[in-house]
Amino acid sequence: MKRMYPFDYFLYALMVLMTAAWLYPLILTLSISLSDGTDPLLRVTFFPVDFNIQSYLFIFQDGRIFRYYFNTIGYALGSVVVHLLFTSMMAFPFVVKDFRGKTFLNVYLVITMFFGGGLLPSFFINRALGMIDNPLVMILPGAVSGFAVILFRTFFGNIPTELRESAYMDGAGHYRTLFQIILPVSKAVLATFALMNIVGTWNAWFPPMLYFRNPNLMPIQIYLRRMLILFDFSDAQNVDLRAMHTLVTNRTLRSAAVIVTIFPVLCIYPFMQKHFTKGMMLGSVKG
Amino acid sequence: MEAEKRSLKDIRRSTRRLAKAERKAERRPGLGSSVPLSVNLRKNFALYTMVLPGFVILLLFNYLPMYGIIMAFQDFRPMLGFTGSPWAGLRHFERIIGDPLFHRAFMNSVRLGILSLLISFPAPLVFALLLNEIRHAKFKRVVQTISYMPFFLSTVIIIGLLRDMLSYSGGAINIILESIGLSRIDFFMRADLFRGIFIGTGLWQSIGFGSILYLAAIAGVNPELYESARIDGANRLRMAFNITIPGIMPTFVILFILNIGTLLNNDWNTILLMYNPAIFSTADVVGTYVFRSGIEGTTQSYAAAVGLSMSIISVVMLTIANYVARWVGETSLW
Repeated sequence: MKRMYPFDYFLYALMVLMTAAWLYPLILTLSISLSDGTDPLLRVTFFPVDFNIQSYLFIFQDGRIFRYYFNTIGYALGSVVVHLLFTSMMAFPFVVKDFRGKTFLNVYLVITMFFGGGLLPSFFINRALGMIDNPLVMILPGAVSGFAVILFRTFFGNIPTELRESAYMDGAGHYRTLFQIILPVSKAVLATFALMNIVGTWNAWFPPMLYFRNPNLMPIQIYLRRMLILFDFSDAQNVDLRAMHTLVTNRTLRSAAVIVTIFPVLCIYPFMQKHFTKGMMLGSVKG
Repeated sequence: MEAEKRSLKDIRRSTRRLAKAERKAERRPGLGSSVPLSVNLRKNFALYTMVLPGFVILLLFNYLPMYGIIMAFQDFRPMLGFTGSPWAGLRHFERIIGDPLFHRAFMNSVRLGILSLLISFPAPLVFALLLNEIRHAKFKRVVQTISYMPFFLSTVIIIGLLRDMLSYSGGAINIILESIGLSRIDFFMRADLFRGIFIGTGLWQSIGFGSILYLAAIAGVNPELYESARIDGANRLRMAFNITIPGIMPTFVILFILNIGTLLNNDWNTILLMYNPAIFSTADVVGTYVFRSGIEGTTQSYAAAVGLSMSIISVVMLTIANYVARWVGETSLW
């Protein structure tokens, strides 16, 4: 056993404290969601008060949350496919000797990393491009970024040229070489960017708030924002549910909605750790 | 000595020969660049089509908005669009200088930016150093995993949980405050508490994920350095200050420069979820002000002018930070 110095006790105590600070809000939310929602003066500090699952029944019967969840999954899948496809396609020619225009394209990419239109010009340009109530607004605007292309380019550049050359010798075209030779050995970078992109789409609430008017297009974050920040339940779908809603306070409902939303994510992310830590390291040696 | 020199020369010569052979190999069909452009274009047409989607996306969503900046010099009407709106010259920029609301928002941005530069920015570095001192691998891994968790909760959810915890009537924090004999605090109505709450939430949210980069840099430090330091009798504090911190300094400097560039951004999307008119006096930053006047309000051109001024300030600050970093040390962005 390693020797423990006073500093170690302090360190471990601090870490336990910080861990508690990270977990407490989640435990609290879980407890509120499992408490009796009919009590308007609900006082929960740790354990549920008058345990019941009414709020979850409401959420599941209402069912809207699943439609929003479904929308979000759709946006995330679409966005990740487009992102990886177009980014790798734009990065690949940079490592082919024959490609003319590398310098121009490089400048073209780097400019977008330092300058942008800003909120209002972007909004009105996107509006003019027909992005209002268009699901593509969740997919296209961030699909290609200078940063991602440059990292992909660096990664592709580190793959031995012999691999590409032998593909060309065997008569493969550029597309075939990219998709059958380069991408299969680039899984590390693909996985990392896929993860980051999915998390980004999943968290996005500002673009959909800005561009979507049609409630059917809304991702889950908009639904949550309405519940958690604006406290608006006015559009509960039918009268029964609205009546039931008076039996359950907004607060337990909100907490149940949060738990339902984050549960899958919390189950998955510890297993993704490898990918995003690796990805951040890729970012730190950008060339 | 002589032999060494000669072998060095040999290596150099053979490297040159290899490079030459490589260049020759690359002149094979499909790989050479000495063919005329028209032949190249025909042969490698596929390459140019590959770039096309990314090129168009950047053109539409990055370059067109840059063109859209002209609205800051117009009296933009959404009905008339970019081509039909009348010109206004620099009128909107002149208005910025005398606008007390902009002045307040700008000062709030600066204060909040400096606070986060002093507190939120170095916090992940400190956290990484502390994690590095934990000697039970399993404990370390558990702490690390939990510290990444907020990254996977959306901002909407985090602010939602915060609002519930801090709510005046039934929030857990107020219940606890009351039970230890203190009076309740209406956290979201207190302008003087906003900055603390904002910085605290930011720490909770990003300290774990932000530490990944530093942990990666720490992992890259040569372990022999620690070994020899231990033999020389250095204690852990000395090793942290003399080996670990210098080892991660380049990462720190790069992140610092990048951070200067976004200093006045203040993560205003998050503030949008947190603030209300009662605390505008400390919580309204330039980003939220632009949003309110341009998207929720109808002074689009003025808001665009404010936005443009802020981007110019940011680019200038980034450049200055980069030059200072290059002047002081050897790490810089470009």
